[in-house]
Amino acid sequence: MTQIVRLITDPPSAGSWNMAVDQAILESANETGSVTLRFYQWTPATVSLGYFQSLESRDAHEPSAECPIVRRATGGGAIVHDRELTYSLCVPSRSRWADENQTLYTKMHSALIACLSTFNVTATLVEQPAEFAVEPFLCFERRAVGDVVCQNYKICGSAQRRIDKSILQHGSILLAKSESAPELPGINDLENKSISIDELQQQLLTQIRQSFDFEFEFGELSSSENAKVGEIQRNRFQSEAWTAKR
Amino acid sequence: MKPEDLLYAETHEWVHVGDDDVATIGISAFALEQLTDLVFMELPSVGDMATAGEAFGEVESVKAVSNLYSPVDGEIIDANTEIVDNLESLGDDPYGAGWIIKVKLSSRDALDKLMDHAAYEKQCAEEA
Repeated sequence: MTQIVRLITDPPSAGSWNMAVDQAILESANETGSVTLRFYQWTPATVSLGYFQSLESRDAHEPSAECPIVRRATGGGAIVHDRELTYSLCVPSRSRWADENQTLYTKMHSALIACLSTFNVTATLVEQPAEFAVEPFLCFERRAVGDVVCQNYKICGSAQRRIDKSILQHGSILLAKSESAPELPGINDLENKSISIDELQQQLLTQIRQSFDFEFEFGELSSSENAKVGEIQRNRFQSEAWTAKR
Repeated sequence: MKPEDLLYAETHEWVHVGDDDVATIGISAFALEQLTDLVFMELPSVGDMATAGEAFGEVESVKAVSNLYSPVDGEIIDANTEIVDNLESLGDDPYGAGWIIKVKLSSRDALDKLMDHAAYEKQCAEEA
């Protein structure tokens, strides 16, 4: 059955605001059962830490030392958000332990692979996780099952936050190398392309519509979500206590 | 503890209430089976208050952070910090050594909303 989905596209914004918006939408999904897909970018270039990463672990990554930092509510490794497109998808879930939560990674990443094929870019899902003595700081240097790779470089990884009756999954699609993470080439660097953020977003929407059977309605945050965003940004994602909690 | 003797929350936490009104809480075997590659767990501090239906801790599994919800109300009097460093063993004995917190009940009201083993098994069958 076709699912009506609110589609939000936001201009480049601060990391703490971006994370607060995702959290507010997740809480709405928990209360109302609504589904929201959001596309956004970050300004300035920002490091987001995985929820369980220590703040001091960023010291090991010198190129991003000048970037502001925000701790995500989701797991995984750190991301330098710069020349990339970020998506978030909030969906209701019957249980935070259900298998289908796990398949959300594969479903979204498969839609991305189909999207990239329309630009003549070949990407695949990682089938075997890479094992490291110490997990790399950067998400894009890690390899989990279901990550998206192109020429053996990771170009998309996603992470989730699961609460009572809903899930937030967000992920970054690396379009081009950032000066703040020069070791990570993006799709355009690897494939000698010049795909724009808008082109990627439009094509990805088409693929998501088909694979998820979604019908999109352009929307924005409700007034109650907007009120929550300010509070969540202040009390959590902008707060020193939250950022330095580990 | 035998799983048949425990109470269960819809959110897959199990509860054993002793004669001293201390509730021992853990995660069910069903939930743990689905939590592959558990890598982190955050527990509350002793002395914190637990509220039925609200999060008391968090776990990370395959880049997904999930809340753990308290099935009861009361004061947290113990937390199994040993398990945090041995998460791979959590599934070995989920109803024994895998307990997560102990709560001194401030009220027994929330216990009425919990399921017995048979009802919980039915829920798991529906979710599987």
